[in-house]
Amino acid sequence: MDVVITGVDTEKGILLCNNNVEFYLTILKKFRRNYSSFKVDFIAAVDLNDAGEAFRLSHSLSSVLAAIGASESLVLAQKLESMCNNNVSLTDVYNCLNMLSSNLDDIMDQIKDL
Amino acid sequence: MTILVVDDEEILTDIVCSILEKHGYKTLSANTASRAIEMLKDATTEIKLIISDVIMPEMNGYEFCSCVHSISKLKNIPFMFSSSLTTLEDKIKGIDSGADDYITKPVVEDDLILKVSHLFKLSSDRNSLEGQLEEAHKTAIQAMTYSSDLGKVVNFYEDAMLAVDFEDLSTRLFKLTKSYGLSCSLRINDGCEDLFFSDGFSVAPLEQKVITTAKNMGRFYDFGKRTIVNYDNHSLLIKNMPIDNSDQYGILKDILGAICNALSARIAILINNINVERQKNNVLKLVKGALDTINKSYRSIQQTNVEIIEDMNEKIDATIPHLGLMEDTENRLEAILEQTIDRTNKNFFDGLHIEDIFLSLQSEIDKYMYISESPSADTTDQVSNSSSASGELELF
Repeated sequence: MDVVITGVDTEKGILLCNNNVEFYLTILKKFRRNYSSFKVDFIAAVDLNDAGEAFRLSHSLSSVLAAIGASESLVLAQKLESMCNNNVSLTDVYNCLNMLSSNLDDIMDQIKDL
Repeated sequence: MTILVVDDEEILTDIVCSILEKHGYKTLSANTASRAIEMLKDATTEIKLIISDVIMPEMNGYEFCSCVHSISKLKNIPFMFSSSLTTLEDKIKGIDSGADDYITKPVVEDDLILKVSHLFKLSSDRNSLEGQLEEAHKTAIQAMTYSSDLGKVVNFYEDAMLAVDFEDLSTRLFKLTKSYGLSCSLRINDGCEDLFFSDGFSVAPLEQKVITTAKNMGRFYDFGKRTIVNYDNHSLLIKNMPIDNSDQYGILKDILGAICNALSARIAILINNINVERQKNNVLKLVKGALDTINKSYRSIQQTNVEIIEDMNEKIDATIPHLGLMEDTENRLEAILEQTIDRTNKNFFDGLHIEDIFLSLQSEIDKYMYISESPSADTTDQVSNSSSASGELELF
């Protein structure tokens, strides 16, 4: 069974998920469920000036994106993660977040149809 | 073998657990470090390896690792970090917190299984080394304890030689056996009869009978918690041998053997001393009796001599006037008689000097015999006083 998701290296993802397609699909669905509110959660942490929590959220997302093979989004998530540890402007942070969020939305839409 | 996977992201624990289970490992997962610690403390879960994320809410991975290693029953569980933090600084932090290895996210199956296998081997080697170390430590402690025990036994060899009698010897013995926590009774045969001593109350008749009956049952006779160590001249009953601890039991038996050897040697010397003393007193009694007889005979002879001379003097005095002798001749005879009486008296007084020597000798023997039987200083004067009182002579 071929799994095709634009912006995701599904072959790599399947390999990392024990080379088990069914399990990979389960992981993708869990990802969609767990990270649909990522943008909201991240903004909440920023509003609370909680850089640590913002970092943790983006770090966890990075790890999951790496695990499912979402390489393009991973780059943005890692950039966002890095921004949390460096004193960058909120504008830059939100720009990056918006780009990442848009990518995630695309991926999640595709996952919904699997 | 169960592996605990800790990550605040459920997706990542699912992936790692899936890989591990595929390779035959049992897995448990926790989303927080505090939940993981609860699972680790649960005695029913035997976790052999921990794989943990670093960035987690509340308690991070480094804190979690330090916490695990601070709990003695968990400190030997191998610990591996899984993280996408890949800088050298991150890895050093991991090592500092006590972790054994580090795997980079995303976790790759071959890499994970290889590291897990290595960690299990490392853990096995470490446990084996710790087991050897523990065994070596135990052996060292045993050797030191045994050496200390031998020191006590050597001291007892010296101490026993200072014992002046059986009671003193038993007191010194019980001081030693009490230091081992042992409760004991002792039978000593002094060559004539069995004497019993106890480190507590007196030895009950039944206990005496048991000890006496078992004296021919071999060097060590064990029954329940009790052991009797038998020697020709004594038996030592130990009432609370540590039968639940075979190592201690064996060591104690060795020590008791050595103690009883020393005891036996000292008892033999004390019995010998008693026998020598008895023989000496017997000889002294014989000598004293002989001296008494000689002294009495001598005094009797002296007395008889005096009486003969007196009788002769009276008879001559009565006879001379009827002999019709010249006055001059009578005077000469009386002078000869007086000279003879003077010489006899002189001989008697010289004889008194010999008697003084006899009395002095008897007095010394009396004193010696009295001291041998009762070592009291006051009695010496009493003996010499009574001896001099009985030594008075009535002179004519």
